[in-house]
Amino acid sequence: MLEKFFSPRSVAIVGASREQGKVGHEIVKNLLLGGFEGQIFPINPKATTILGKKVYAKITDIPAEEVDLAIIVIPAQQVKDALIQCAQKGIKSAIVISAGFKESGKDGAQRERELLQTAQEYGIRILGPNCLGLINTSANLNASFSTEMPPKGNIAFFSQSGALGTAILDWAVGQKIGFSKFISLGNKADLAESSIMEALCQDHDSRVILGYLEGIEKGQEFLHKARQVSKVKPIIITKSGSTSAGTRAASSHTGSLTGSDVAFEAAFKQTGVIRARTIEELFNYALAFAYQPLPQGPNLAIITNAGGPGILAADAAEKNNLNLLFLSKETTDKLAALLPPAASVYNPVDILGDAKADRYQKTLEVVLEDPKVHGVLVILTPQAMTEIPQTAEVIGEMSMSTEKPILASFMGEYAVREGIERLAKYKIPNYSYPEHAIESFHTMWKYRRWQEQPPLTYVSLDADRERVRQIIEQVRKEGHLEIGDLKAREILAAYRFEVPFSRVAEDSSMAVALAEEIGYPVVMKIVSPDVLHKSDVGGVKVGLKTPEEVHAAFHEIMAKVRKFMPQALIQGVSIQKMYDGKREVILGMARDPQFGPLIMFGLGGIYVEVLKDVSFRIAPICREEAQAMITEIKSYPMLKGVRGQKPVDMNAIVDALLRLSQLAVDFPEILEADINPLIMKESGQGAVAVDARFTISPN
Amino acid sequence: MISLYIGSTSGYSGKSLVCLGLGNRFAQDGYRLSYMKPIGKPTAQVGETITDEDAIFIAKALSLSDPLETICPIVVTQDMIVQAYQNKTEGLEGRLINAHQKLSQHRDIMLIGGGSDLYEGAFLGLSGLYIVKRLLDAKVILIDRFTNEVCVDCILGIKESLGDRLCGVILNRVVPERIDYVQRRIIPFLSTRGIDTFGIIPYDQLLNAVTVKELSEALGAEIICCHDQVDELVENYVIGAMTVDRALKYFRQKKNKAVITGGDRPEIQLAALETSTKCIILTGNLYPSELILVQAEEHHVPVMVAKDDTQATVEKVERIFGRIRVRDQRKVARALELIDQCIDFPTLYRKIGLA
Repeated sequence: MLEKFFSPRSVAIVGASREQGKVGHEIVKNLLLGGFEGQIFPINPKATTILGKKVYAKITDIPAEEVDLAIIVIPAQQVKDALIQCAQKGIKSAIVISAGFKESGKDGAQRERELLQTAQEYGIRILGPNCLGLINTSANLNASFSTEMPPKGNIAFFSQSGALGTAILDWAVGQKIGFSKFISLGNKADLAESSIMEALCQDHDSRVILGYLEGIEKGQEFLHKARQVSKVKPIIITKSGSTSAGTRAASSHTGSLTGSDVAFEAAFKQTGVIRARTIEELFNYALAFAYQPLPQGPNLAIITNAGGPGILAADAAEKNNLNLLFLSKETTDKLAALLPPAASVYNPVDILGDAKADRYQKTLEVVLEDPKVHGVLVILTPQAMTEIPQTAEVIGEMSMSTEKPILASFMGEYAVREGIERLAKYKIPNYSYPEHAIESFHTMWKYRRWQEQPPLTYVSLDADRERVRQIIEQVRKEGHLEIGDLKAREILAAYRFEVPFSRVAEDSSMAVALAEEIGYPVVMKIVSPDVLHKSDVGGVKVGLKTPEEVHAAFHEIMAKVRKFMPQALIQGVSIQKMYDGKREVILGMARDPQFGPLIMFGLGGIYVEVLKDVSFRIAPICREEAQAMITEIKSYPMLKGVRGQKPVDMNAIVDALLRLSQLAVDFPEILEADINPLIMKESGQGAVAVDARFTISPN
Repeated sequence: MISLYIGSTSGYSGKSLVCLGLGNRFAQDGYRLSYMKPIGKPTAQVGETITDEDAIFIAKALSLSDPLETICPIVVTQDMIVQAYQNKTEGLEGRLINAHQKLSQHRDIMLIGGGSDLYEGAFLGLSGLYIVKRLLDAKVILIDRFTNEVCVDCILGIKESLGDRLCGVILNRVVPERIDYVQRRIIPFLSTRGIDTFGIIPYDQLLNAVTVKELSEALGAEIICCHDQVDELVENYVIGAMTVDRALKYFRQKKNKAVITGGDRPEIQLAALETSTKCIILTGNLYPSELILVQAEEHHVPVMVAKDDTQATVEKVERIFGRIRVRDQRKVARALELIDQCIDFPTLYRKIGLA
């Protein structure tokens, strides 16, 4: 897949130029300087040779039978014609570097549509337009206008921002970090992140896939592809625009609604994509994955020559849910025998400031031998006695003979420089601060667990879909987009939610009669087409236990509503069975513009509104994902029961989440849903959906 | 000839709509039709004549070619108001009766368009009640924008004043959720008081819409894209001043809407385009980015830039939506369709004595 982009045997540069400094010139130069061994055909109607290469006036003039790849760097208006010429020559892959498309406004957007249409008509795949090009170090192919070709390596990197790409490539060259591929996505008219990830998955030179994204083209396709690829190799993505200000910036930069950050977070969780919050984090993780094997477990041993950094590391470990108490008695005994008395033989193992290379070596040997140890972080601070390069060599040697990942934190800059360079030679990632190393290790472990997780199964639930269809149709006919109260509960009932029995009483005597029939305690709510927020106007009374209370509540509700909303047409009150609402949860769904139905879960009341203690997943969700949504929230212990409370019926929440997910998948016309509250009963007794609201699309 | 006065309990209740609908039906059924608006507002000028915009519109829609001065014999100009307060108006009654006589000739039925309520014009000595009872001997059909008991009070009050002249009522703009209640409780009740209900006309989104162009004119806002979509009808509006996630939630709850937001809120503008939106009104004289306009063009949604800030723009838009008149051809067609569907004509004919 995309073989002709990455490893072409011949390349035509449409718009090659003799003039230095022009992109059309730089591309040819970069191809030559990069050492590309295939054929290069510069195209330019006015030139005869460029940088010693024979120039052709038209693509169709190229004498070779087949040309694998075209790089197009001519003004935007001419790109479509160039593409048609490519088709005539049988070229099926094109990188469009030219700008002047969607990013430039109305005319550009039209040009981009036409470009894509032409490409599809002739079966040509396009990278770009408005991109930087691509680099494949293993094929010595620098088909970009970035002068620097990074060293060969096993990190593949795709970027929606071309400029950020050049900055990172420059940094990588300086840091001697090896790349397998670099792909600038540009406007993503055709090839976008999903196809690129799929191609990189099959690329043997790439061990880890990195990405910088501002938005995603086709959310559902991304979910599908990313889930497959991440099982094979790690995908680490930095997605910008995670705040309101960032979203605004992204909107005006890309001209597309990027989707909510929580949707991205959920998408990454569900697909095993590792999210890096910053570019720095992206490369911290990248180096760990690119250089070291994955750990077999979460146990990280820390070896340090200084107390302070050891404590920092211990703090970071706990924050990342890593347990440090696992070294076996045998190991600590051996360490005690080996190290000076002042040393600490427990994790973090403090081998003291006077530790030379040999002490590091012996300690590392003992620690690595412990079967309970799944990985090691070696911390070094430059002190008087420290043998920095030698220690790096020792660690490097040890890493050659172990299957366990070793990370290093040689702290400082000037004194440790040579040590760090030697570590890099042995492919040991070094972090200036131990916290970053710990986070990287934790991320590797999390990824390992994701890889080992058995495939999830998504089941379809039975429901009365026809009934829901009827309700939606009826509401639309009435000219509404919102569904509340009775009809909303009917929808839930059709999806087998337990909903409370309720009926409307027009006057107080009927209210009492209905309450008697339903059984106390009851809830009373005003029924009026004009009152949407019932409790705001005193239109709700709960916990009514006697006929007298019902009678009084009826008149109280009437008085309040009349006072606050004199214009309202009052049809009566609904009488509903009251459930013990000590523990309530909220379920919600909002259709994300990029990923589709986003399911929300949280504990009722202040937990959702004030503390924002909620979890999200994109539908469809499976049982395991529903369970994770519940355990993920901070207030989960409240559901398990605190201070002698019995746990709530967790299975009922899982079922409710699955049913809401099913409803969202079955009815794309439902744009928003709120089930609030879902009143929880004790284990085995279920849950009742007391109130719900839906918003539907107009057609 | 039958004189049928179309009165209402409050302004903007749908008198024009009913005049059009009934007139159309009368003509279809072969009756020779006439129309007059006894007391007009000085809202239009035709040549030298200052006259009533509604009256012109209805007469034209019903293909009546009587002179405007006859169709609307009295226009309450500023001069007339000043004269009235000095008790100097003279001959108004005569003018009115005269016009009525002229318009009555060789006709079977005359529709008389009333004022906002039956007291309008009392300061000229020409309240609706007076005109109906003393001057033109007309029967009355009452239009009411039904909300609650207050409306029932009004209807009963008018019944007290008019007695049998009141043939019945038409309840207009009743939201679907109320229809069942109105049918079950209100209509039977009115019937016990001798008042027939000729029909319930449901609230209609289209009739309550304004065109994008009307909005831009009322706001003095410049339309900067999709000029071919300016005749699209806007049914309501929302203000986009929240975070984008919230915005999407609110925007989804309203269809065929105008979204009012700042020119510097691209994410809100994009959210608007994701949902059912007929136009985007940018406030504060801030122009959007070119990329947003590309998206707007793709979605065929006009964008206009208003000079006012959001608060002032919202106030103006609010005013426009509160006073909607049936003018647009699509609205006229819809009005006729609704009247045909909702009015019980056999009963109406019997009550006014046409059958």
